[in-house]
Amino acid sequence: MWWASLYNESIKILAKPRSYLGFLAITLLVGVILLALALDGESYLDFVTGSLEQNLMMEGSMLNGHLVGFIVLQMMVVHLPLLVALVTGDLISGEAAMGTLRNLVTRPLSRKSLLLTKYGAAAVYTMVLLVWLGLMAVGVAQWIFGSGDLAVLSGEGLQILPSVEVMPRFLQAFALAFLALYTVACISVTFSCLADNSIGPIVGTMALIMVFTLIGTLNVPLFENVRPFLFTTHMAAWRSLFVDPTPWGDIWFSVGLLTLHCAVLMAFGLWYFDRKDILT
Amino acid sequence: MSRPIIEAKGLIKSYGTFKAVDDLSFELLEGSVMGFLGPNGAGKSTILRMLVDLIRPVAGNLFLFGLDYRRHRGQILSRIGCLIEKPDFYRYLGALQNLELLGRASGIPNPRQRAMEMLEFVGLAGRERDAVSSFSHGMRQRLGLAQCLLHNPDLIILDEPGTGLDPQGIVDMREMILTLNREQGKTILLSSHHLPEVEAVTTHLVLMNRGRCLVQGSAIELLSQQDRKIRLEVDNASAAMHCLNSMLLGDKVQQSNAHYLELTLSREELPPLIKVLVEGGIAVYAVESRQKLEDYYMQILHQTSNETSHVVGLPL
Repeated sequence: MWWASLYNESIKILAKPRSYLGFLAITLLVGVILLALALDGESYLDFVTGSLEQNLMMEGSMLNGHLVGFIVLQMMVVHLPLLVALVTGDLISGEAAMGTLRNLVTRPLSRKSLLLTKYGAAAVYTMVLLVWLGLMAVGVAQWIFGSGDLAVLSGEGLQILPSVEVMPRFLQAFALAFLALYTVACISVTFSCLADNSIGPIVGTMALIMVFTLIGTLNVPLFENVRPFLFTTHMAAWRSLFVDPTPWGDIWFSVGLLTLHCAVLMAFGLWYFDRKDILT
Repeated sequence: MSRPIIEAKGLIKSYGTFKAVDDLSFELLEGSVMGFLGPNGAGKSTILRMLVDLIRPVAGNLFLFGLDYRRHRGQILSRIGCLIEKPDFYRYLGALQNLELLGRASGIPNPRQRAMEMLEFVGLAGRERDAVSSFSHGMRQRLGLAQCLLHNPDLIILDEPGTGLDPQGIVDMREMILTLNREQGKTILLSSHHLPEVEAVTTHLVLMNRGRCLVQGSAIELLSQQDRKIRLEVDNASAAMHCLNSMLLGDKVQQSNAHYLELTLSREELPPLIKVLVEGGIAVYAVESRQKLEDYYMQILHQTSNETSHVVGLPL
C-alpha cells in the first residue's frame, strides 16, 4: 500500500501546475545563462581569469561544456532550495488547507507510512528537478559548447581537471547536491506537518536557510563552533568534488551531517504527525 | 441479538482547560442508524473525528468491531467509510481520478472499476472525467458519499450529510442512507442539525451538549417517553371537550375549533380518551399523533440547560 500511496503522491504532484514552476524556472535561467555565455563567454572568462594572466600565459579557450555546466551549477544553487520548498512545503499543509488530508488520514495506511510517502515524494521531486538541471546545465551545455578539460578556480588556485575525469565528478557532485537539497525538502515537509497553510512552511524554510547562511558567513567568534554543524555550510560541499586531490574527509563529513539532519527532521515529523489532531 | 459496532467508554478530549468531550460513553449496535444530535459546540464533530482517528482522545477507551483502536487502527479504518464536515477533493483532478486515488489509498484491488460503480450509485455517472472544481455543492456531496463507500465499509459515518443540498438532494441523500442500511446492511452513524431528516432515518439517538451525553437509546423508546401532540378531528368539539374535562384532561387542550382539538398527552392517556369519546357518542374522524424529534430535542436541551444553569448559578 506504501507504493500505491507513493504513486498517488506522484500523480498529485504531476497534476499541480505549481510543480512545473521549478522546471520552467530552471529552463529559463539556464537558457539565459547559456545564451549569455554563448554570445559573450570569452569576455566573462577574461574577467574571471584576469588576475591570473599576470602570472600565467593562457592559450586557447577554456570555454567548453564542462566549464559552462560548472558555472551554471554554481549560479543555480541559490535558487534551487526555493524551487524545492515551493512544492515540498505544500505536501501536508496544502492537503490540510484543502481539506483532503482528512480523506487520507482516515484510510487504513498508518499516519507514519502516509508521511513517509510524502518524504518519498519529496525525494522523487528533488531528484527529478536535479536531473532536469543536470540535463540542461551539463547535457545542453556540452551539446552547444562541446567538451574539454575543466578549469576550476579553488582555494588551491587554478586547477585543470582532464576531460575524462569530469563527468564522474559531475555525477558525484549531483548526488551530493541532491542530499543538500533533500535536507531542504525534509525541512519544508516537516514544517508542513506543523502548519495548516502552504505559505508558512515555504517561508519558514527559506527564512531558516537565510538565518543559517547569515550565521555561517558572519565572522563572529560566537558562531565559529556552530558553523561546521549548520546544514547551510554544506549546501555547496559538492564544489569540493572538483578539487584535486578530492578532500574526501570533508565530503564524508558533509554527507554524514546532511544525512543526520534528514534523519532528525524525519523522526520529528513522524513523531509529531502521528500525534497531531487533524482539525481542518 | 445485534453486537455492538462501536463501544465508547469514558472518552475525554480537552483543549487546554476546555473539555470538548467530557466522559462520553455510548454504544452503536450493528445494523442500526444512530443520530448524533446537539447544538453547535456540543462535541458531535469531535466524537466523529475520534471515531476515524482524526483526533485522539486524552482518556477513555474506544473499541470498534470489538477491536481496540490503539492496537488495530488499520484494520478498523478499513471497515469505516466517512464523510466528515464537508466533501473536499483535489479540485484539479477529475471525479474518477479522485476516487481512484482514494481507492488505492484504501488498498482496493481494482480502484477504477469500483470508483465507476460508486459514481453510478451516487448518480454521477457521465461526469467522471470532469474536474471536481466544476462540480456544484450537491454533486460534491454525492462524490463525498461515493468516496465514503469506495471500500465497501461496514460502518458509515456521516457528518451533516444534507448540508447545502436542495430539497431533491436531501430526499436523494435520505433514500441513499435508507438503501445502505436496509438493503446493504450497513451500520450508519450520522450527525445533523436537520432534525426531520434524522427522524426519518434513525433507529437510535444520542443527544449531547457541552461534551456530555444527555440521553441515548432507541429512537422509538426515547420519543415515546415524551408527551405527544394529538390532533383530533371530531363531529362535535364542545362535546369532546366535555369528555376531556370529565377525565381531567381539559387543561391539556391547546387549541380547538368546531371540529378540531389539539392537545398534548402522554402515550398512556390516549387509548382511554378515545374509548370515552366513542362511548360518549362522539364521532372521531381522525387522530393525528405528532411525535416530533424536534420537540423532544428542545425539551431535553431546555431541561438540561435549566439544570446546568441552576448548578452553576446562572440566571434562569
